[in-house]
Amino acid sequence: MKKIITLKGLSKSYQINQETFFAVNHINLDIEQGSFVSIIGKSGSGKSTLMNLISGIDQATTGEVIIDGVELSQLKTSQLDIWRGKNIGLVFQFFQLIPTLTVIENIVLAMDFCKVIPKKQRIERAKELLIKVDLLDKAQLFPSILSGGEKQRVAIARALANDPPIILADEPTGNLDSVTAKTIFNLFATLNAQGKTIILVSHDRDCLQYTKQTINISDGKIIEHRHDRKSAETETIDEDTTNTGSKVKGVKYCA
Amino acid sequence: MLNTLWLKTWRDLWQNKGRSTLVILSIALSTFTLGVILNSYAILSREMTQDYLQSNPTAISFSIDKFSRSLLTKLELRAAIGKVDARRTVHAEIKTQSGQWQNLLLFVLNDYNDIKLDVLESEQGSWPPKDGEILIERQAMSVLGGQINDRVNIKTGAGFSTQLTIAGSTHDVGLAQAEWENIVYGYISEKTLTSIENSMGEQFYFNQLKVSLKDQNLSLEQMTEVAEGIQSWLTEQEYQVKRFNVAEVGEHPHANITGGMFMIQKVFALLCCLLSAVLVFNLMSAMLSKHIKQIGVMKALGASNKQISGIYYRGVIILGLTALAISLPSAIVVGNRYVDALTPMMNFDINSYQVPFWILLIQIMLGIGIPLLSAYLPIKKASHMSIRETFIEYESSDQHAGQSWFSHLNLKLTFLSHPVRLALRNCVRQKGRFLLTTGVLMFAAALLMASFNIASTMNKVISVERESKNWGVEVKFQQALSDKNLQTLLKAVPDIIAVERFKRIGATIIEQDPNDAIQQGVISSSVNKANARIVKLHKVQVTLTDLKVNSEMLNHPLIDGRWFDKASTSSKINEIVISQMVLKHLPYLEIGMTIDIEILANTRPFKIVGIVQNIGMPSIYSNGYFTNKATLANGLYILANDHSEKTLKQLSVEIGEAAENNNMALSYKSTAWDGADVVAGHFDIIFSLMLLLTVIIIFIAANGILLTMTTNMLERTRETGVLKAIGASGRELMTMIFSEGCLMAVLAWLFACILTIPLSYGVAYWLGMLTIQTPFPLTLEPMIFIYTLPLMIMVTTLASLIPMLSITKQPIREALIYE
Repeated sequence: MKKIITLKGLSKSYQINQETFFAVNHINLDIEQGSFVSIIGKSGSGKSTLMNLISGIDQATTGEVIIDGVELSQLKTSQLDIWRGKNIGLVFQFFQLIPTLTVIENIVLAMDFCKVIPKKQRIERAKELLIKVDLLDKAQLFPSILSGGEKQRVAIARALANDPPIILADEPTGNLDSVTAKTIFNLFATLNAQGKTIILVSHDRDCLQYTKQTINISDGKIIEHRHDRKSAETETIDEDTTNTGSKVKGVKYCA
Repeated sequence: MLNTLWLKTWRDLWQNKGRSTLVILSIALSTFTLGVILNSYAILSREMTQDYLQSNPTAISFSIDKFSRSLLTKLELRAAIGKVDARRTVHAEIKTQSGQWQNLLLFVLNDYNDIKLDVLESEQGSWPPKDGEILIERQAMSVLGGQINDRVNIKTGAGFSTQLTIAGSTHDVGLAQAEWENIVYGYISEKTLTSIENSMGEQFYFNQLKVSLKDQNLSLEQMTEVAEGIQSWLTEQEYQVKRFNVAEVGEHPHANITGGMFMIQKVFALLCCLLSAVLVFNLMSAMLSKHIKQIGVMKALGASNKQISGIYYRGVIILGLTALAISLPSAIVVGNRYVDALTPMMNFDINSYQVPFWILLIQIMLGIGIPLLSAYLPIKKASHMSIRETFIEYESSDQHAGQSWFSHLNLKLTFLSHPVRLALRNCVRQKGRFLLTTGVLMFAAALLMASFNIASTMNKVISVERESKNWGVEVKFQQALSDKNLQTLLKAVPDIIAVERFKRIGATIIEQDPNDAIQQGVISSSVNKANARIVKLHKVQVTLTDLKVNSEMLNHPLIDGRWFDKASTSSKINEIVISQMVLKHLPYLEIGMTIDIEILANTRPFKIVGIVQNIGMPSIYSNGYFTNKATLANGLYILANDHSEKTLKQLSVEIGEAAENNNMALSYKSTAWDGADVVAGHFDIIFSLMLLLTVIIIFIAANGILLTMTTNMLERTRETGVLKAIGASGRELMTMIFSEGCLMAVLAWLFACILTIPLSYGVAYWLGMLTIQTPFPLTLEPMIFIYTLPLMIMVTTLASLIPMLSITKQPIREALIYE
């Protein structure tokens, strides 16, 4: 399968009181097209920072992020914003819908920004996406009167607006009850089945039931990379190679 | 569906409709003010010039002792000359409706049915004036107080008197405004003047030669060369040329002062625009700080910097266009009414109220451009933030709270209650917004104080002018005043306690070439050659008042040099003191210079020993030049017991009646209060305009406070909910908001007290130079400094009322869930 995301020696560090703090510490990772990956870890482990580095929201201190052949650090900030709009669909914990626009307008807004979809087709596409997330009847409502789950489904529809190959979702169910969260995970699973590469950052272990790979992060390092839930094959990082490049070795994992 | 970017712009404004409305009102008010001033100025200056040009204005006018019509025929043959015309001017007096004798300038035109230059228009009544009739300039009608068909008494300076019928009114656009000059302009026929002066048996003659040039594009310098050529030719033909005057082509004589008066209004209006721009800055900063996370999200969706900034620039354009939709038409309507109010004062007609397109374009550009410029920085800052920065900014906007020097200072203000201390700390949480709002309020307060300081300065100038007259009533007779006549007058008016003779007469300063003066070492070498040319263009007619030696009747403030002293009487050369208005025409004159002055056809040297401040026409004062012979005096300074306006006016009437009963022909008489009243009227107009513009600026400042307070309160909604939840009462919350407003008011007032001094000084300097050619000495109005503070507190309190009420009424639950 084609590698769609490649991380090479990726680090993000901050200087705090003359000490270097690594939020992400020398991560090497390949993610293939069509993967459904969950990144899990404790609060402050670096999972959101990793997500931000993959999406280009944050810039790495060292290392490379290559997405579909594009090395993100080579893009200027303005180019990166436009590239992101076309290639990555972002879903946030707090939905981040524009409160002054209706549900359908929120989706069209993303298309208006990127201009990938021809102008005349945008409304139709927005409606199709709303059908996909089962919210067509709420198209003309403002986000303030939607429930949390509905808002997140609108946010997912918006993330799909420009038909990006990759969806990155940061704690998409962090603000939802378990029943609603299940609906959202199912929606992601369906999208993955339709070919989208999906990466979820979550501390909700329920997501593991849906994703095909799990990356467990602690102190900015991948401490566990489990491929395919059903095969229960797990990779752990050799502690000795932390500073020179992660070396993955196969370890059997029983769920 | 509308483009979502437009939709977002529109809905963001709608969501902030209260604050958007305030900004629209402020922009509208400032562009309206600017519009009224620009529109009316454009109409007035265009119509003034057009009306003036329609009269075929004279390019060069010569004052010649005497000439006949034959000179006109000879002159027309000269190559450079376009048209020629002639007039006779006669200084006279006319008895007004109130029974007073008023100065009258009589004109006799060459041919009323074929006026070639300075064309008159018939306004009312018959045309041309028949024998025994007089036409009155339309604006002078109100000075005279007469009506068509009234019979009026006329006395010429030579002492001839007659009765004429007012046959009609005319419009003479090129003359100084009769009301401002307090003079009547009359037009009579050649025969009428001859019949008035027939006892002389002299043939009629003209004394004003008017010439236009074929080439309309000559510079002032080139026109002067032509004028000098004509003057030489006239002298060769044995005409006595007293002086010539070259006019700026196509420029109305009063265009300068009109432009000057509008300048201060334009400055104020531009200031209004700039202050309203601060409101736009505050609104956009507040809106953008709330939208930072949205901007991050939009960027995450693929929005470019340009698209993000476009959303907010569109908002600013909508605000500007909405304001312009209100201000443009209303400025046209009000501007036209303003023109209507001003034209009677300026004595010209308005043929079209059309506002030039470029003037409207300026208003549109300013109405949109200034808000766009003011929004540039906040929009650029917000739109260029990276996504990561937008999230950090959103989460840590208050992370430095409590670390500033002000917060540390605040900790020490333990004598203040906690709500007040919290309020003071809240003020500086958004430092930029706080400074800008306080700055606008400071400008408003400074301008308010400046307006009253200027009023006080102008009152002081008027009061100095009044105090410069130690006399109560001034009377000028048409002939020299004999001792017998003086005694008769004193007997007839017992209220007179003392008199002093003076001689008043027209004189002409014979100009010197400043280059010659430099060689003589009497003028500083800074006077350049260019000035030499200009000087020659303005021969100055002045009023010479010859005072009794050691006279103490006048007390004009000295600008330079000295007044007459004992040394003056022993001086070999006659000394003169000149008024600063002479410098307006002859700026090179300095103390110590000796200048030639033509008096009664004799030219004599006079040494300038002093320059005094004197409102009115250019004047010079000499010391016993005539009055050493009492019989030459033609005027009296009269003192009374009581210097009150009422007493002096009554005394003036009594003197007038006594003089008439004893056949003593008066040229004019005035009280010490008269001239100052006219000036005070003009100053009142200036003060009213300044005050009106200041009120507009205060309104804009109040809008700014309301906007800032509302924004602050919105941003602190959740915090206020927490305060309520832990027991803060509505009263305590209101105290907090009131304290914030008070702090702004006090700071604005403090800095305004400092700012207003240079501001007032600048306006006083400029107004003085514009009106009396010397800066007005600034007089501060102490009470306005005191009154402004409670006024500013009142403005901030009123502006804070809405946020006060809304915050106290908001339920805790709503406040806590506010995002």
